[in-house]
Amino acid sequence: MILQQYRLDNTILKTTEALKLLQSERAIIETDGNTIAVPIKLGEETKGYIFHGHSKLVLDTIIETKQGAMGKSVEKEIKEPFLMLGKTKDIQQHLSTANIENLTAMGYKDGKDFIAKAEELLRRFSGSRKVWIHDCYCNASGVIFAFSK
Amino acid sequence: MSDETKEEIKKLREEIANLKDQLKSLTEQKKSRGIYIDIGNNVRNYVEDVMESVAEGINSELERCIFIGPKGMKIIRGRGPSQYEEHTVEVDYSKVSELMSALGQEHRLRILGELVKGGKYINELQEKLSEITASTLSSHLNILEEAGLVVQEKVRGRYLITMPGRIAYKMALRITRFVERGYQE
Repeated sequence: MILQQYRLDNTILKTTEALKLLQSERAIIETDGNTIAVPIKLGEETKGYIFHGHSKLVLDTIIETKQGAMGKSVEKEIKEPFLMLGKTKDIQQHLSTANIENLTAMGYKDGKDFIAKAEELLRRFSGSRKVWIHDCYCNASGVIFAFSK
Repeated sequence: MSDETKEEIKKLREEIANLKDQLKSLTEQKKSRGIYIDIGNNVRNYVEDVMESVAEGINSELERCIFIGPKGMKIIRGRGPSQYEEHTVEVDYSKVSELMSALGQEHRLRILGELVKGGKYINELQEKLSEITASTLSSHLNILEEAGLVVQEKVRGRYLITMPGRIAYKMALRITRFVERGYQE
């Protein structure tokens, strides 16, 4: 087993249609078509993406008790880039190469500009940590999302 | 018992002791000099006055110490900072009226009655409350949600009764039962 760090690919992609990146009993994360994305690699394998586009997070933080329900639902637009690690194979088929219009629509000058911003998020998420190349985020491990503050 | 009441009782005892002494002395004088003075009425009036003020003191003390809330009567003991004061909060009657108007509708009470049994999807509520049309049901749920009596899970769409909703619903039932029982008696 080899100890490696996550790194970003140079390819800039975009979603070809609206996607539900996560749907569970309590959470939905969805993004519109033309959301730009950069793959996160561990070795040669794609382990996730950093997305930036019109996205939305819906989260039910409600607990049902005998005394009544407590908490609330959160519905929030995600305006900043966010990271997704884990089971991303299903997403790959809904991605194609992005063009400059897709990047400028999100306020970037070019691909390098987006990658620089994505690098910053990845660095904040993983720091200088290294992971076993075959040990983390296999298909059965679910997904991890990280959002900018 | 308040200090004021204790003081009154102490004074009363002193007065009675004093009057007994006076009576004893007068009886002795009467015996020795053949003089008769009727002080019975004066003593009775005085004792009645004192007892009345003692009763007033006890009443005001009881009013201060007993808090009558939704769950019944609570007697507050001790002489520390009054717990009763915690219950005397500023009341915003417009907010109270807003909440009560959300509660004061038969269909909405029925909805709360269903949700008390557990969270439900709108189609489940529709099945249980078939006399209410879908649009009316939706509008009632919005009113209950705005009042904070009901909350909707955004992901699954299920409606749940909140803690205040449950309390409000139970209070409404309790008050109704209380009033009905009062009328029967």
